[in-house]
Amino acid sequence: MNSTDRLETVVGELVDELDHRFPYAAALISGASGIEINDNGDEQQASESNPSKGIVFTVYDGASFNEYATSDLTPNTLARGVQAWADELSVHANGRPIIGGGIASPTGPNRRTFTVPMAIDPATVPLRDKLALARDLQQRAKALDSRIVQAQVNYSDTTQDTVYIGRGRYLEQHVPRVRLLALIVVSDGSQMRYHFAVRGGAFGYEKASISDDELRETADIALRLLEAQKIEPGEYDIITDPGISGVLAHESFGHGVELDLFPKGRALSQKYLGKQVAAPEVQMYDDPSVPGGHGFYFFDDEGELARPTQILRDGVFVRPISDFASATLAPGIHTPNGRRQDFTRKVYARMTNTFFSSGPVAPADMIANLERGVYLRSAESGMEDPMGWGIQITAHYGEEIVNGERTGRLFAPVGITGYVPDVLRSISAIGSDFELWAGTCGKGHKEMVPVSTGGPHLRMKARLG
Amino acid sequence: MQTQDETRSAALTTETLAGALANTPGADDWQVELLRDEEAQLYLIGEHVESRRVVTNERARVTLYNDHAPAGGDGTGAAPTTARGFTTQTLLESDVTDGRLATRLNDAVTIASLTDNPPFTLATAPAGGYPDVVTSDPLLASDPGAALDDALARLRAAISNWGNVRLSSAELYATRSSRELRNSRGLAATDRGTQVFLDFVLIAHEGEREAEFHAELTRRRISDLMIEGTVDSYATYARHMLVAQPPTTHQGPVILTGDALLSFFSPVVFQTSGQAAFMKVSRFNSGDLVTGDEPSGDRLTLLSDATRPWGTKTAPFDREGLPARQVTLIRDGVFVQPWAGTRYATYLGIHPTGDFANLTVQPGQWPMDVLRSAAAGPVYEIVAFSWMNPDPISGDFTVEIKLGYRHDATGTHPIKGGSLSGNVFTALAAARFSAQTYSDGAYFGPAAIRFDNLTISGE
Repeated sequence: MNSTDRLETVVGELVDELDHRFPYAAALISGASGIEINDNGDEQQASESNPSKGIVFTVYDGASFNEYATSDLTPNTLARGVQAWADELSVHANGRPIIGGGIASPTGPNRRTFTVPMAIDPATVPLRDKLALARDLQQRAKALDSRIVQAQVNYSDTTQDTVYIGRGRYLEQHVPRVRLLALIVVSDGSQMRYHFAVRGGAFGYEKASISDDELRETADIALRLLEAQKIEPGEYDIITDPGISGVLAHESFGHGVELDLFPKGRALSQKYLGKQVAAPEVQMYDDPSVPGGHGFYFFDDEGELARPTQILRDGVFVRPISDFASATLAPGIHTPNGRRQDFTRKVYARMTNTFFSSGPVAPADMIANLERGVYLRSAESGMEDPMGWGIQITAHYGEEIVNGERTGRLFAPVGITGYVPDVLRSISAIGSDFELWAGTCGKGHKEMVPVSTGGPHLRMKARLG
Repeated sequence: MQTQDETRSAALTTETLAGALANTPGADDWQVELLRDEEAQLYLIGEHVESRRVVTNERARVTLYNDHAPAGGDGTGAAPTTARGFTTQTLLESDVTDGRLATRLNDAVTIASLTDNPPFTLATAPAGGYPDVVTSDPLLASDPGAALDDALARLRAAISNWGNVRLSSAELYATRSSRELRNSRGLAATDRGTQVFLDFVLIAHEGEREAEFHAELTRRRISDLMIEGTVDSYATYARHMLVAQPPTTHQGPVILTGDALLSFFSPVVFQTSGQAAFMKVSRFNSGDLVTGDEPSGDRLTLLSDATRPWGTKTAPFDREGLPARQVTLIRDGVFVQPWAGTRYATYLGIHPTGDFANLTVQPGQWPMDVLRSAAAGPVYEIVAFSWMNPDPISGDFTVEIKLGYRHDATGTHPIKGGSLSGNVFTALAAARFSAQTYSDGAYFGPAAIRFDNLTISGE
């Protein structure tokens, strides 16, 4: 028996023992490994990308969830630590019943192993080839224009390995995530601007590429941003690219419908379940099972198998997203959204791949039919406000539209603010395209997990500044 | 909570790793940083304890350096000079006990041998030793779990003094940490510290109306949370959120206060780094005014201070073993020097200062009531943003306003919503710093800065 098998056997036995003592018990063994490369022409660096490895034991005692988390995976030490910790816990006789439940069967027929199909597993690609990829991209970018003062390439791949044992389930998954970013910084001598091209998702090494055309467009936009102006604050008709549409979904009815906020009284959406909150054509989903999505997984950190959750149907809020604790402590449906940053942090209800679904309007027609407005491109960041329903999104730049034509006049950066229902109800056209963008999501300012956001081009009204 | 000795790893030691590295061919230099955190975590929903966690995280960060001929020569056709490659790996106890250590280190040599960088040397032990700094709270170090229970009791008691304000949720973490550092140049140092994190949300209500205010504090010692005073401030803010109105569009004086200031200065921190200078993306030149032209308000003096008692970035030595010090980066508006570790210091030919530590800004002379004066027109004062996240290269920012105040001839009125936009570097050219000071654990400086010309997008 190798060390991994021995560890899993011990963990399975511990979960089995705990499951007989408490209403719920489970364990999650998680690890992340991979490589991160940075190359700016003058420097190269290759190191492990966000390495972590540890285990979490969870028990529900009828009132609270208790967890023992450690990086020490030595079986004997682990067993001693877990038993000493569990001995200090007791079951609350009249506690709230747990949803689900069941006894683990660590070696039984319930064991399932999931892997992502891909053409080239990044773990099998020699480091020399990854360094060459980054160097080639950096040199192609730097050579595009003499005003480029810095071209920086970041490549990373990470494989997230997870084993969940609990609720009669024994699940194992291996999810790779690949990301390639080219950042181009330009200067006219008095100021600097930048733009970037990025690829990212739960896919293989075969998708780690950025074409010459994309690099040229990236450099052109960076150079044009040297002439960008500040936008006059006010309300505008806007068209959002898929990246910004996605951040809108994420910040509005993504964070706003995380069920763990409901018992805290922090989500205004709680009062709008079953009510119209967006234009009637709007459909919105969270779906960890989208192939290639940066937030993809086969099961969440509580062993719930991935499946789509429709959040908005015809503009009506129909379902929140939840983790095990929030679905137990608050009335709601358990969805596969229990995620933790790593073993050192607790599980929360978190988004995965969150998006608006496509509609009937070609993006070119959307622009052609707009008399005056702003085409917002390239999402930089967003922030949620589930209780106040305010929204903050920063677009890297926007381009003026007059009489159905893009004028070439750029504004940068552009802040989008507004009241969530007002913005979502103002959606007047939904594009026929669809794209997902890779990103990272925090709960407040911490608890970072990989996600994607996206959708089609959208037309709406919002306040810009 | 279990004590450290009960679960202490036995095999993952700096001695074990140093011995293995010394016997690894190709490990021309190395550094080992052994980190151990023991943390108690407590989560509340209202009065209900949702979750309790105990976390032990022990790992070694091994950075290995390999010197070799660069793959492409030096580009001149001359004999290739030496290149230095390096990589960092994280090792666990099981890497040692399962016999994987040699393999992991050999893998690191392979990775390091494939990256080409200009050579640089590692830090050596300082002749005068490391300074004594204050980073460990005995209350947290002795029993993190008990410290949390006590903090929670005080939090509940403080909130109970407020009518129409309730606790929505809270998260408390108490951490005791240890750090051992060794490198191949004979440097050996140890450090212990504590940290407490308090995140809580207050909800104020009046009839059907409710509004929240979210607080997030990180400190080295429990007493610096100032729980009772913090609750009073944030309960007041939560009540003001109930009656706050959207701002009107405004171009003119805006005051930033408190929590927003650390993030506001983040582009300045980046632009003063040796890395930014080496990458040729810094706008600052030593000896020049950071504002370009003569500022119309106060001149900025900004320091990185790793010695400040109880600062969350305070430590006797940085990640490389460079000793803690106070470094003036901008003095009286003039850029003095970049901050840099050994690598960028070597590249730039300057003395290494160590990592950026606690952000320290020299306060000004202005009383708060003078800064708030609306004699010449309305002044906005912003106390909370959704997320102040200025662009590190351009300094541009646009950020949603969570809570602020409009000072005008009719009095002071709470506002919320809309956005504030501007540019950090332009704004600093017309700024006045308060005499009153403030600290959030990593920022030590004026409690308020009045900028003459920022833009609020409102109604």
